[in-house]
Amino acid sequence: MARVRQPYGKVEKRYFKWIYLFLLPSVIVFIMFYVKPIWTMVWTSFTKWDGFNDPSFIGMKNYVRVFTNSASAISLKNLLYWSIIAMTLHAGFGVLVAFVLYHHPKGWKFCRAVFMIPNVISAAAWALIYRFLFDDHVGLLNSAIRRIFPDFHLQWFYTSPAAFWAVTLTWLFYAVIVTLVVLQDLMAIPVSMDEAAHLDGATGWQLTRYIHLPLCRGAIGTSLLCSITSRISMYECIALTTGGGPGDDTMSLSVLLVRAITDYNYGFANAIGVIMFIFGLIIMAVINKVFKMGESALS
Amino acid sequence: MKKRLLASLLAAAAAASCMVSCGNKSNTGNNQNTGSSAPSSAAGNEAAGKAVVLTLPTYYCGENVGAIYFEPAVKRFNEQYAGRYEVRLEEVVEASYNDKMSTLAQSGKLPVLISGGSNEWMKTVLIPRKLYWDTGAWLQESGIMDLCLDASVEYSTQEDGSIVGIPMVSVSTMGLYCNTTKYSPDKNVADMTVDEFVASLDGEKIAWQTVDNAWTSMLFMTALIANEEGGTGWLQEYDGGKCYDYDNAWMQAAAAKFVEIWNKTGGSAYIGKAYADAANDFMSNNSAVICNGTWMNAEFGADSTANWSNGFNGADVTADYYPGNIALCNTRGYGRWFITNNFSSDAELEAAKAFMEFIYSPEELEQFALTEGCQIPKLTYSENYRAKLDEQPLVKAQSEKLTDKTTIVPTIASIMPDSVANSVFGNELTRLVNGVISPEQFCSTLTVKAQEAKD
Repeated sequence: MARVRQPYGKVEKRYFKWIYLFLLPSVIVFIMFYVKPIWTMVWTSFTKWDGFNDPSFIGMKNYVRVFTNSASAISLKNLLYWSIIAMTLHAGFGVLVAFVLYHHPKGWKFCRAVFMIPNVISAAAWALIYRFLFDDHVGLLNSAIRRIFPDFHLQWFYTSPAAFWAVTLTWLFYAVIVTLVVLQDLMAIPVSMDEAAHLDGATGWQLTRYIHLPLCRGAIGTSLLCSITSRISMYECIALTTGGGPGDDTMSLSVLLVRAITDYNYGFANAIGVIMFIFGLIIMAVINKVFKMGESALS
Repeated sequence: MKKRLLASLLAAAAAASCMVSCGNKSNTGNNQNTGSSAPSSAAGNEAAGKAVVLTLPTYYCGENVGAIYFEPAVKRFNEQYAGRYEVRLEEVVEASYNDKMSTLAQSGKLPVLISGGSNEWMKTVLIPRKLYWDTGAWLQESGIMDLCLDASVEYSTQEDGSIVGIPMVSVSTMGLYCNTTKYSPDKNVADMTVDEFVASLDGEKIAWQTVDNAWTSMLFMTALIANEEGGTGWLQEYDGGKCYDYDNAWMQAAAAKFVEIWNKTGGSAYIGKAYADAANDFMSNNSAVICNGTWMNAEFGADSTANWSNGFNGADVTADYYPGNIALCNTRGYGRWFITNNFSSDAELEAAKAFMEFIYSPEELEQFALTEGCQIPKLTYSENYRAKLDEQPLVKAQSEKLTDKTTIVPTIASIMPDSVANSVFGNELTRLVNGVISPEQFCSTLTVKAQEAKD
């Protein structure tokens, strides 16, 4: 039966002006800091603009340039691969850690805190740490490998295809956001539900597979959304390690965007920004659909 | 009722504060002061008979190498003009200086004096909107014009005859430094050919760099280009401008030569090294040669021993230019200082002019030349300067070795679009020295990237 909206009463109507008045600051902030920048980005993406003087309309030229740029194909390919890795290995690792921590093994609080530490260190600092870690001569990784293979030499960040994997390793295992979001949902599951499942004869794995995982569907969807959109906007861990190289092997749209800004090509940079924005919206729509984000997990 | 009134006042205040804080109209005209605190205070101080304060955002302070001369110079100025003028420095990171100035320009808050700023920034922001004060007449009156380099005066002069800033008076040539404990050739490097230089190194290392803009490597490659037939003319042709085509014989030959020298001078150890790594390598007695500008002189002074290791001694370092008697410098460019038209009062403009006249006085210029190791071709040096030069062997060597036979060319990075010079060059150089791409591919890739940056 369709719900019928009751007409607002006199008392409710009296408070409308106050509601609108109190909403006004938020609406203004939203318009100025969200709507206006996005609108500026969209309309200047159709212009030639140096970021300071008046833009001149050039139609779709910037978008044509984005897709014909020598680094675009590899940037999109890298984005696809990094998104797949983020969806599977990165998010999977985060979910796995959440499930391990949920069972409260000995020292779980300590592990959770340790797992959290990388998140409070800036991406720039991590990038520099990794530059030392992957250094061929003094790096920890190669030094360890050379204990087994004495002649091993590899410049991880400066050789293909190692550079792609070296950049990937700078973020792959830092999945604390995924872990915390999923853990939060897991902890919200009523104990009575687990007990009922046990009474019905559910084993540990069955409990995880048929009760816990479905109930965390929304949290996993949110985590995937965060993980993939982070790959779209990923910049520091590329710029501060490989700079998009060797050649264009670790290029991304964000690095391409910053390079365009360096050359005062703000129109072109904003066209890249619009494409990144659209990718983000598409991913959001797909994940919403696949994970049925608006629906209750219990339905 | 009181509660309602209070609530509505709070809401209105919140909304108003949002609008006020973000509602600064951008300044697109000339001499529009829209609330800059420094100009107001300058006007106020003038009226009150206090010293006029100039707040100067600059990167020539703090840890920046430019601070070695500039901070004491500001102190000297403030002492000399105590009670009349005062310059206060506001530290800005060099890498974000252009962005900061762009933001100030957009909000109509450019300071009356600007130091530095790239040629591109000048051409994009300062000049099209005529945000500068025409220094032409004042330069003539003050006598500073007599010191300015002709090429820079021509470059700084606009179509309407106005002059942007104070054109260059000094030449900061870039050459190389040798650690004599590891490499002490029989004759000057500048007097050698490239092959003689490489042979004389006898396997000693050069402190290369591939990360970021591959600065030290880029300098040497420029010297190699200048040593190729046609290379010097090509580089000089684009001095002060941008080149978007590197598919030429001299660049390809230089790239091939670079790989050869890279392999003979321990290059593989320098893959992934940044400028700090290269400098550290040289100052720890690991490499025998490093390419850099004269500002590195300060690193070899007795005050910099904290940066030395492994028995390195700055006194063992000598300065030279590149094989083939090549020195690197951009002579067609804007100067170091710019006076904007964003001054609130004549007193503020007078303060800026007084500061500039102080900085460009012969005594200060000599001090600047001694500290930064640069040459001031049109300045007649005093006896005092010559006496002090004996105490500065590196500056003396750089000064004496720079003769009328020295060929001065701009760096290859300076004639490339910024994105290519800052990141693409280093990325492609890594592939070149690793043998992934040929010298021809190296040049054609740079050309493609430069063309993309141009469009």
